[in-house]
Amino acid sequence: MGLAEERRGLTEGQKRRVLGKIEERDLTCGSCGSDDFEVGEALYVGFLFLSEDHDNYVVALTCTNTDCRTPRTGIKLRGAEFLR
Amino acid sequence: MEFGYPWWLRIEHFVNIIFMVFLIRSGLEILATHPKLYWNDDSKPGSEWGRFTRKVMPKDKLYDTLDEEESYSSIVSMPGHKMLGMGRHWHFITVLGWILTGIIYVALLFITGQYHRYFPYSWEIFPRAFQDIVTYLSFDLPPTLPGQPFNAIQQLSYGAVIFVLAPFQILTGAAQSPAIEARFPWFVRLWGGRQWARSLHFFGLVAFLGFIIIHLLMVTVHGFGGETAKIIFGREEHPVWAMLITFAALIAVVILNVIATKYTLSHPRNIQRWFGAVIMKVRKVGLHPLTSRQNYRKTELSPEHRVNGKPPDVDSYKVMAAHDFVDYTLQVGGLVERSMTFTLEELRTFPTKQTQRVLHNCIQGWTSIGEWSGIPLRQIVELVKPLPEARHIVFWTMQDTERDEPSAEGVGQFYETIDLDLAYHPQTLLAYEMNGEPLPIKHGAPLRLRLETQVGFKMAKWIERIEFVSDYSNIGEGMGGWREDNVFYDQDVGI
Repeated sequence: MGLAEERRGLTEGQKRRVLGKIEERDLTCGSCGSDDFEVGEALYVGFLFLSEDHDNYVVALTCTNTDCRTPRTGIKLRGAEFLR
Repeated sequence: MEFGYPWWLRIEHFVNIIFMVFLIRSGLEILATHPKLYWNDDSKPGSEWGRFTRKVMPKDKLYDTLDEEESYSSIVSMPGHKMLGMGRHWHFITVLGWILTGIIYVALLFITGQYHRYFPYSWEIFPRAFQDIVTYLSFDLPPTLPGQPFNAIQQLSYGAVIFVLAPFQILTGAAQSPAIEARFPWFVRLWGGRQWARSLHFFGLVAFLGFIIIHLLMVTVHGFGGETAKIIFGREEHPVWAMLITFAALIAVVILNVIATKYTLSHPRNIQRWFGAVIMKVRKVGLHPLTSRQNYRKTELSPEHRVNGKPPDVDSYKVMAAHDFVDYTLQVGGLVERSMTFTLEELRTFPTKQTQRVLHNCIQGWTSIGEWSGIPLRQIVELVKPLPEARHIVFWTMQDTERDEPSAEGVGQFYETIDLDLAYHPQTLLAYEMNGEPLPIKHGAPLRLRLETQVGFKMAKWIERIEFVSDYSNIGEGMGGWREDNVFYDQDVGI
C-alpha cells in the first residue's frame, strides 16, 4: 500500500536539508538525548490543522540509538526550508 | 350523503395547523444545518442546485460541514440559532403526532363516508377544475360540484394534499433514514437517491406552503366570516364570532410557538430528555433491528467525501501520523473478560478484513458513497468477551473539541457510545482504509467506526480506546456521547 495522501517521501537532497535544520536547531532526542536521526517522510500539516501555517510540514525522524525507548519523533519545518 | 363539517373534522383541522407550523419551522432548522440541496448523493461542494447560505468556504484550509452551518432566526425556524438537535427533536415528535392525527383523520373519513368529498369520480373533474381556475382569475367564484361541498379545483387540491402530498412527505422523510436506507437500498433508489429524496422533501415543503397560502387566500375570497364559521361551528352562521375565534386561535398558535421556542432555547436538556424518551423508543423498536445490506458499485463511489470534525491538532498526533501510525495502539477494556491492546499493524493484518461500499449519512443531511475496509467490530467484541452487564460501547477519541472544533458548541474529549447489539451488525466496522487507501487523516486516521444504520456523528474518528460499560449516565453529561451532551442529539440516530 502506498503513502497516505497527506504524506510524501523525500529525496536524499531534501533529507540532507532536514538534517541541516536539526543541527541548526540543536535538536536532540527527547527520550535518550541522541542527536543522530534518520529522516523519514514529510506530513503536510498546513492544510489539515487549524493551528498550522499554510506551508508547514512535520517531518518524521527516527532516533538511531538502538537503545532509545521512544525513537520516533518529528520536526516541524516550512516547506521552503527543505522542499527544494 | 350529507357533507358537513363534523366536530372531529374541525378538531383535526385545528390540531393539524399546530403540527404543520411546528413541522415547517423545525424542518427549516434542519435545512439550516446544511443549507444546500443536491441531485447527487456525493454532495460535492459546488454541485448543489439549491443554496440558502451566503457563506464562502476557504480553499487553503480544511473546513468541515459544521463551518457551513447557518443560524436562522427563530421567527422562521424552530428553535433557530443553529440548534439542529432541538430542530430534530421538534420535527420528529411533531411528525409522530401529525402521522397519528392523519391516520385518525383518514380512518374517520372512511368510517363516516366523508372521504367522498375528496374523491373525484369522473375525468370530467379536470376540465372543470381548469374552468374553476379561469373563473377565479376572472375574479368570480366557481360553483360547487353537484351534491358536494367543494368546487372541482378545491376537491382536487384537498384530495391531493391529503392523499398524495402528505404520504409523499412521510415517504421522502423515511428515505432519509440511514437505517431504512441501509436495510432497503432499493427504497432510496426508488426516489432517485438520498439527495433526491431530500430535495423532493423540500419541494413537498414548498408545495405545502403554496397550498397554505392559496387556501388562506381562497377562504378570504369566498368570504372569511362564512368560511371560518364552517370550520368552527360546522355551519355558515355567526360569521363575526367565527372571525374573532379564528383570530384568537391564530394568536394562540403564535403564543404557543413563542413559548415553545423560548423554552427550547433556555431548557434544551429537558426537551432532549422528554422528546427523546418517546422518539428513542420508537426508533429502537422500529429502526434498531434493521441491519445494513448495502453494496454500492465501485463506479458509484464519491470522488470527494465531505468532512465533519477536524483532526487532533496536537504534535503527538502529527508525529504519529508522519510515521504512518506505527506507534498507534488501540486499547480495548472496561467490562470485558480480557482487556486487549492492538497495534495498527495487528489490526491491518487481522484475517477477517472486510470491505463495504456504503452510503454515508451525515446528521446535517449531506451524503457520500465510500468504500471502507477494516475489521468487523464483532470480531473485537468476541475476542475481549464482554461481561454480562456490558450494555454499551464507548469510543474515546483523540479529538479535543475545544482545540479542534471551534465551530461546535462545547468542550472536552470527543466520545460516542453505541448499544452493544449494534456491534454485531454485519457492516459495523473498525475502518482503517477508505477507497482502497489508508484512511485519510481528515476522515479519522488511523481508525474510525463505520456504523451504517446510524448517522455520521456516531462513527467516532481518530479512535484512541474502546470501553465496554453497563451505563453511560456517568460519562460526560450522561447523554451517550459528546454531541448528545453538548448539542443535544439523540443517542440512537437511525434517522
